[in-house]
Amino acid sequence: MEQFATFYLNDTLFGIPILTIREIHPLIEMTPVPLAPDFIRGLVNLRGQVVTIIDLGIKLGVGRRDSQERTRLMIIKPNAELSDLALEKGIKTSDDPVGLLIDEIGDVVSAEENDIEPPPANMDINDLKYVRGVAKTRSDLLTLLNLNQLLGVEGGNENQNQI
Amino acid sequence: MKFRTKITLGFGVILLMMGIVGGINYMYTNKARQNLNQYIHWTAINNVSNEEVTQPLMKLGIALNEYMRKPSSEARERILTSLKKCKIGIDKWKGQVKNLPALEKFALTMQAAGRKLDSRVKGFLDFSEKCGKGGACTEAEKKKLTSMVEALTSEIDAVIKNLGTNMDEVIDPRLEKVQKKVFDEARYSAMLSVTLTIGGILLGILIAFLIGSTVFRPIKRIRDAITLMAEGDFSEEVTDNLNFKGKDIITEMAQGLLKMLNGVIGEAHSFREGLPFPFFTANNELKITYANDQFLKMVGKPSEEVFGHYCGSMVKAQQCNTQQCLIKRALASKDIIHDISEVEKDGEKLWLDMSANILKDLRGNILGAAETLIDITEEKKGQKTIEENRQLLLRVAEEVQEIANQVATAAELLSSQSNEIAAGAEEQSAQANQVAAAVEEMNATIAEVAKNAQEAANHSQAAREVAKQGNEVVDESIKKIQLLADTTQNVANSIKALAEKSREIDRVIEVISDIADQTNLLALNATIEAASAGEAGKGFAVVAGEVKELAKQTAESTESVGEAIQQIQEGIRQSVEMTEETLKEVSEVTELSGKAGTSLEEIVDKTGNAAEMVAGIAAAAQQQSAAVNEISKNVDGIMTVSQQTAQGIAESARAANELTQLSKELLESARKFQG
Repeated sequence: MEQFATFYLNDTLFGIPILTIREIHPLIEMTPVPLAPDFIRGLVNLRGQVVTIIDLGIKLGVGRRDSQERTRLMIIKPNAELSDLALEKGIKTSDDPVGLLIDEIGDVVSAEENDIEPPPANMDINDLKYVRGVAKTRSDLLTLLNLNQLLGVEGGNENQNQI
Repeated sequence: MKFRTKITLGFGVILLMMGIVGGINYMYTNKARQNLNQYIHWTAINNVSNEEVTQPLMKLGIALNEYMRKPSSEARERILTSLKKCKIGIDKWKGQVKNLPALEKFALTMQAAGRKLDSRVKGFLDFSEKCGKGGACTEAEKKKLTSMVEALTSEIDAVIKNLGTNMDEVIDPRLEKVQKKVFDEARYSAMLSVTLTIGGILLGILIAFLIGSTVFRPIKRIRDAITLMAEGDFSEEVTDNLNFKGKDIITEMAQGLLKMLNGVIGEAHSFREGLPFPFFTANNELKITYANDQFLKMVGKPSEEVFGHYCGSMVKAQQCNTQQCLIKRALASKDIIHDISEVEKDGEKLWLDMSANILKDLRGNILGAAETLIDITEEKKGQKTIEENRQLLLRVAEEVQEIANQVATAAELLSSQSNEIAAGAEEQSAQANQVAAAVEEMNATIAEVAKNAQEAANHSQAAREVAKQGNEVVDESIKKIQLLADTTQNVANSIKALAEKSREIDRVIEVISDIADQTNLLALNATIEAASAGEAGKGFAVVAGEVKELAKQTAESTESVGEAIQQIQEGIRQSVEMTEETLKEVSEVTELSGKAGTSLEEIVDKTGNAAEMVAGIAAAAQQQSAAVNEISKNVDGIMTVSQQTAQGIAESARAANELTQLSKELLESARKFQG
């Protein structure tokens, strides 16, 4: 059994393993990064630590949205901060601390491995690598994201290349 | 007898004559030739005797004498040559006279004489030579020689004389005879030839005349016939000229012509003559070359005055002497020209339908033109009458049509006007009815007015009293309203205070909502922390879940409260608005009450005036009532008249409709007539 924290990006429900999350934080002022790719919305100073805020919506093709009352920052643990439990499960995030800009926080959802189905066959091959699978909840279908792919080495390289 | 036989016979006779003449000529010529030969023969004998016998003898004599005078070898030689010639001549002559026995005998004598002479001359010569040898001859010898020469000379003379005599005796008469014969025969021959030639010519002329008379006469007749035909005369004379019997070529020719005359020409002629209308032909100079009887009859002139005369002087159509001349136009256009002309003849007008067309010979050369003139006066007159009648009828039809149109228009106008008038009359009638009704009503009303006016006058006074009381009541109500206004103001103030309080509640709810939100976030973070603690964090996770649930409930409750507060605020807002409205109305009512008070005062004043006026009204109403009665009577009269009018107009409209129909029919008829 695995626990997922769920969130909405423009009415679509996504989920990531709860073990990857450091905290959920209300939206605070972001400092824009000049010349950064558009999915990097800015930097925040979180208790003395600089965190890069990424808009997954842009990466997943949802498009850029304005901040709202329910917009939150989901701070992801860097690899170094991951708990033993997470390491045991083979979870990987990124080397630098990042935060995801989400439209609304959902619930914590538990799912058996059996409940997770592979991503739909008709998905774009590029998007396919970001999606781990689809889990059924009581009311919704939950798209489980592959954070390692979204933020990981690839993401780092991408940043470097673009900077 | 055939023509050829005749000719052959004629020429045969002439040829025979010429043959006879030729034969006779030949015969005589041949005879003449024979005589001439004879003559030549005799002449030749004569010549030989003269030239070859007589002359050498004479030369011999001369030579002997010469030798005597001066003997020389040349003279001797000459003597010998002459002697030789004499001998040859005598021999020749002898040969020529072989057929003449008289001379042949003499020829022998001549030969003997010749021989004798020869020997004696030779003797003389020998003697002379002997004498010469010895030198000079003696006188005796000389005498002997001289005598010898004299003897010889006389001997020669004798021979010559003898020959001449013989010749004269024998040859001359013969020559004369032959000459005479030749002359005689030539003369005779010439005479015969001349006679025969003259006779032949006479005979030839006779035969030629005979043949000519038989051959030329029919040809002349044919010529006459053709000449007549060429002049356009096809009378009996032509037929008579061509009609003769026989089997020769001329007759056949004549028969052919006759056949042609009876056939083509006759047909053409009879066609021309048989044309049932005037017809003439003219040459390129517009001179008449032919005119049929109809034409002659029309122009009233004998053919001598027509044929060969200018055509324009015959008919005197208006086209004549102008470029419109039909023949000129036909000649120019090489086409049929057709025209109509009005001609005056014996004071009468004639209409001629003229057609002209060119005439061509078989090779296409234009010979002139033919023109027919058809008298169409009767048709023209008829046509004119018809045309006049037609024009008259057309005019009448047009007039009829015009009148019909006018009638139709008028009828339609009348109809529409009638309809309008009818409608108007009906309306008038109806209106009159209404007026009557209204007048009656008015009458009644006026009566009522009069009655009521009186009553009103009474009530006016009462009203004045009531108005006074009303004024007092109004004053009282104004005071009460003022009180109400004050109370309402207080209510409004209270409601405003309430609104302020509710806004404060709003703020509190916001704070609670915030707290609930943060609590939820904290609970979520706690769940996250608990999850990362694994099994150890499980208990904590449960607590966190409960906290989260509470936060959720709090948020929901706060939301409900917020909604309730919002409803309350809305209610307050409406109350405030209504209170303000009430306040505004109260002030208006106060004002109106004030005005009502004033008005009531005015009413009191005016009511007095009204009472007086009402009395006036009552009096006027009575007068009115009388007038209205009069009106009523008049209106009744109008009604009767308009009903009658309406009836009359309805009838006239019906009549107008009928008239319209009739004029349409008339128009249709007129159109048919025109069409």
